[in-house]
Amino acid sequence: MNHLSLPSFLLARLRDGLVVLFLVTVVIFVLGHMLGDPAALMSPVDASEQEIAHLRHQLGLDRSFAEQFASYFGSLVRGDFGQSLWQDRPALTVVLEALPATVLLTLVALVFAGLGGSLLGILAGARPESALDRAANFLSITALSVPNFWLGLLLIVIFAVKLRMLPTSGFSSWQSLIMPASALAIIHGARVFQLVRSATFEEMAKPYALVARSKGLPERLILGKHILRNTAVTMLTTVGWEYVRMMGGAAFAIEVVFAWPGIGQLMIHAASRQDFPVLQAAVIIAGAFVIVTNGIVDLLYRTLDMRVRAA
Amino acid sequence: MSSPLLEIKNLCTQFHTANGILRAVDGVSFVLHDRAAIGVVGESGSGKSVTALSLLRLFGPLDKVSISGEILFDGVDLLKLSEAELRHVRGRQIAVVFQDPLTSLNPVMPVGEQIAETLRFHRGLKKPAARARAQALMELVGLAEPARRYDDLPEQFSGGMRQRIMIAIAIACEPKLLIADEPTTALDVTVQSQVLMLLNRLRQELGMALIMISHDLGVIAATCDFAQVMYGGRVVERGHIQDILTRPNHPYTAALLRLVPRIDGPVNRRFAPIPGQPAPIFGAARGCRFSARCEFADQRCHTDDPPAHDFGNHHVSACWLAQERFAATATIE
Amino acid sequence: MTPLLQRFLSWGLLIWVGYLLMITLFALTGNEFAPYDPTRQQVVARLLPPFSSSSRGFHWLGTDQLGRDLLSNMIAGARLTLFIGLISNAVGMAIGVALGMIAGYYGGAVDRLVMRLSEAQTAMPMFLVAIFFLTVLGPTVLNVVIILPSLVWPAFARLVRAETLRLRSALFVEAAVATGATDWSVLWSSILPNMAPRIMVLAVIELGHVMLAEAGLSFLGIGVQPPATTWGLLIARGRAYLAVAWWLAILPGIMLGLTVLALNMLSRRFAATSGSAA
Repeated sequence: MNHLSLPSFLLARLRDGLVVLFLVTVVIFVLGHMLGDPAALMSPVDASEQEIAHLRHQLGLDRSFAEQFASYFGSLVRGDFGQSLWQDRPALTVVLEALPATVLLTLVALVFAGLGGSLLGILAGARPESALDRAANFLSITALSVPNFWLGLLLIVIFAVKLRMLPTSGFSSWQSLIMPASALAIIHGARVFQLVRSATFEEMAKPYALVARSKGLPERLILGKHILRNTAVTMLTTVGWEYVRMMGGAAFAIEVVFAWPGIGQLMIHAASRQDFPVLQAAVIIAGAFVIVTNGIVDLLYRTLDMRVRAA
Repeated sequence: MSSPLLEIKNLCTQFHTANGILRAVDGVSFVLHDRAAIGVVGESGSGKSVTALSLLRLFGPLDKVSISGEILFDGVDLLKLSEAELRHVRGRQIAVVFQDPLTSLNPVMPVGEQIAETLRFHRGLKKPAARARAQALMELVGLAEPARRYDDLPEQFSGGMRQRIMIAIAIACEPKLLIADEPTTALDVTVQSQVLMLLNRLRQELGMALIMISHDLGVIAATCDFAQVMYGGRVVERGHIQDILTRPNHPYTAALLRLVPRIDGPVNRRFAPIPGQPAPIFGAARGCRFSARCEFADQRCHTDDPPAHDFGNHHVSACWLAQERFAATATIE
Repeated sequence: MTPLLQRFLSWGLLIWVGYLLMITLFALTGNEFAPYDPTRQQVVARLLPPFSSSSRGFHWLGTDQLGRDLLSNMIAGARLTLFIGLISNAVGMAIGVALGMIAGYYGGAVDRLVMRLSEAQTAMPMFLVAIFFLTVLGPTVLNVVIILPSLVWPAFARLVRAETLRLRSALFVEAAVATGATDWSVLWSSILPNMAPRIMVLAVIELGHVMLAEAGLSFLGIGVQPPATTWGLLIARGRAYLAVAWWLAILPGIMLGLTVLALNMLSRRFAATSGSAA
């Protein structure tokens, strides 16, 4: 696809993204409406068959599949995600209220993960088999082996329970951000570290790195100028992918652990209350985020790649 | 006679590998004077490149190397310098031109900048001054339109032009010694001679000494005063280029020369490849390194290291049978 | 001992292999090695820290809010955790390998379709979809095993497709085709065996991912439900008592983490040795 001009590329990407979003809505719809009986689920426990049937008709659930989906999709496009069963407000509003907290958490974590992981990755990649390299590598594998929510719990035990330095949960002050963001940053940063480390190592082994050394340049110049230019693309795309992972679900487990008032927390509450409209809206909104981030990463990759290949 | 620019005494470079200790350079000594040029000839694995790289300790990040001996450059033993001190020698006093200009240049950095950065680092030039000087260098090495092409990327140049850029980078700080490691091997034949002529011209204009490493005797003959033949990490013969070409005094040298096709030779002459393969030396070795493949080898050659026979006029050869051969003054057929 | 096996083994590795064998043993034998009945409650002995004693005896890892021995529960939890992990991974691998081979071998429209599917899925917030799926259909072991493979099949498909493309043009494959072998037999006998080492390396890594994902779902309450035990559930159960009995949530996580870590270490070592031998 790289041979397309920028506008065509953007168009193609947009089309792909919309297709995926559409697929998500289809999957959600199928799951939500066809398997299981929403009317029965939405009615109070002691409702009679008639009342449930009445509700079913009201919701239009006795129409054909295609008709139902068409009207469902139609309302989605209009921004109508239905009414939250739990809060009696538009589901979309509920979700959008929870969104900023999630975005704050994930972006802060991403910055630290990206910077920390990249910096350590470059240093480790430039000094293979050194003490720093071995230690950092082992720690990163360990970080990627533990459940992220467990890491969050561990942080709580150490810093909130034992040392009493930080609040255990909620979003009361900026200090509340430290632990959840750290938990995310450690794990996602570990993956950034691994990829940057191997990319750096690969570049250091290439002839131009040897030539740079033969010029008498100090290591900081070689790493900072020569190597960095060649690994920048890897770094940025890796960071982008980690954001996709975060918004794809990883951040939400952390939100639950820390009772962080974001979309993940919202989803779990909605799930326990069987509030399907909110659940649907949350999945679709998060999905949109993931798809947009994917698109940005692809775009970044392509523009940087093109510049590299400028001819 | 003034003191030599470069004096290498009994250089031994060993790599510690999973398969044992590889003795890439096993006791090499030679001398190079100011503005002189010596060519180092040999097959791959002979240790010719490692000898040169040992001067500046340019090894890979994972290589475990031990070097012994002395490398006196302008009176200073390079092997005793710290990494930081050595960095002041690299690029400034001794520079290297590598084999493959495509991979030797940073693919995502403008070529002009790659030239300028040595100037900025070693000479402390500011950006505009460095840029101007770099463009002057580009012109010096024969690149057209330096101002316009300063910001171009390496892939926008041909192989020959890229090598010229490499040369510009190397001579930027006017080093006293230039090491060229197979500079023309990756180039088209037609471009090769242009690059060699460029090197000769620059050597003259800048007064540099040259170590030319190549497996190609023709390249050496075109650029050097002296030639040194290496095999198995050791020097087997050394002398003026004329002596080496016309009166080689080592079976290996003679064999190498026989491999050179001659336009005035008989049409149906068969090439005589040297039997066997050069083997890397692990661990201790005895006797002449070439004895396994030498047609003249006798018992002594396999067990005892041959001494270096001096035939006058700087012509030395490390072979037990050198004396007898010299007497017979063998020439190429 | 073949040279490959020799290079593979080393002291450090033996620790991980030993650990995994131990966990497998726990999984296979159920409660045999558990010092106590994991479900036996003894409210008097509740929330005891590790290395403490009750009337039953010594509790290496302490007890939970109902007096149940933690170590026994952790050992008991190995079975279901491993079971779900292995099955989900195997299903995902089967789907991914099959689709990858088809895409790589036949190319064209089929290839594009499979690649689009895999891209689309990677782009979707799969974990969220899994949450939705389990909420709607109910959190049972069966549903978990159905939805988890969807997280891993794209990785297998991508690898297998790339390998199939590479091997398809190899000489021995051309030879097989020339002798009239059917597509199926070419794929099965010639191409698949050559990909097997790389697939196995990925399988080990993905097993770790699946186990972590299952733990996440159980932790959120939409995975396996009590009275079944998995390590994820144990962590969830312990969460409420984090302030007074941190070991309940932390120790099962260590067991899970060590298992995944062992898998990762093994896969790296295997990749390094088989990669260079290949």
